[in-house]
Amino acid sequence: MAQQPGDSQRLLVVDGDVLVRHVISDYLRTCGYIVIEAATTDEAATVLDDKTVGVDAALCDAEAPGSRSAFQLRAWALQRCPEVQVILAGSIEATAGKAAELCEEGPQLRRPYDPQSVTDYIKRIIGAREAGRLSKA
Amino acid sequence: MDKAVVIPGPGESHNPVILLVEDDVLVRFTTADILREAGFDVLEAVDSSEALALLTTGHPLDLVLTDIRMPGHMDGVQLASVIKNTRPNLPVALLSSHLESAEHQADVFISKPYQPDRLVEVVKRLIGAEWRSNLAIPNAS
Repeated sequence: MAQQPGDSQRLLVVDGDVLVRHVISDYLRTCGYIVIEAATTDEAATVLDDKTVGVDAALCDAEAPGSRSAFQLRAWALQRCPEVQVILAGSIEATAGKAAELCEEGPQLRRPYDPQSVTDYIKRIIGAREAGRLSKA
Repeated sequence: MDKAVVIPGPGESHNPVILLVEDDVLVRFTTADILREAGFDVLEAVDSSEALALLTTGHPLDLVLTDIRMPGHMDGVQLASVIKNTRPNLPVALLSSHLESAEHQADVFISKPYQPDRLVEVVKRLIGAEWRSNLAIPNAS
């Protein structure tokens, strides 16, 4: 994405897991992006369909929940808003890696920290959540 | 709710932090954007399940703003009750265009539609009160 001075690039992050979505979105905001969070492909379609939001690119979990799959969302977006690049990622590592790449070409042209630390952090908080569920069971 | 596991995040800042619970993606984005522009950090949740998942991470939190009408097993009034039972010093504000229940445990009700300035004003007042409360009661919240 070509960045012009003063532009505020808008990214859509689509992930059904709130912990992953929050950490990745926070990471991208640290890079200077305005981030819209969507929990499902249906929410993503609503955002992409609203031209006033002006999404520049979307980073979508390949297994994001919703009435259409992530792959169907990308195909739909290609028809509906071909100017928006929809990036699919199939794992937490891939999502963090794609987020880091977006940071390197984003408003600040750098990544604030290593994507591995983002991956590690997400896994730690998911692990804590799973431990909490097991202790309740 | 289990005892929170406090995990410092890689991007954790020291701005006041608001948990926003809203099921409409465009309303959530617009509200979060207003709050971020005003200098707050915002955690976004689609429903009560996501809100509780974020709460249990032990992420620093200064205020919960929740819509009343939400899909899922708990509406905003019920979520406010759960939060007040587990973290009584954490302020909670209800957002809705309708107040279905006259009884709730939230600290304040904000009716929709709201003016951005008015929202920020109420949020600042609630967070200021919480900070004063925590100063008066060390280790509270």
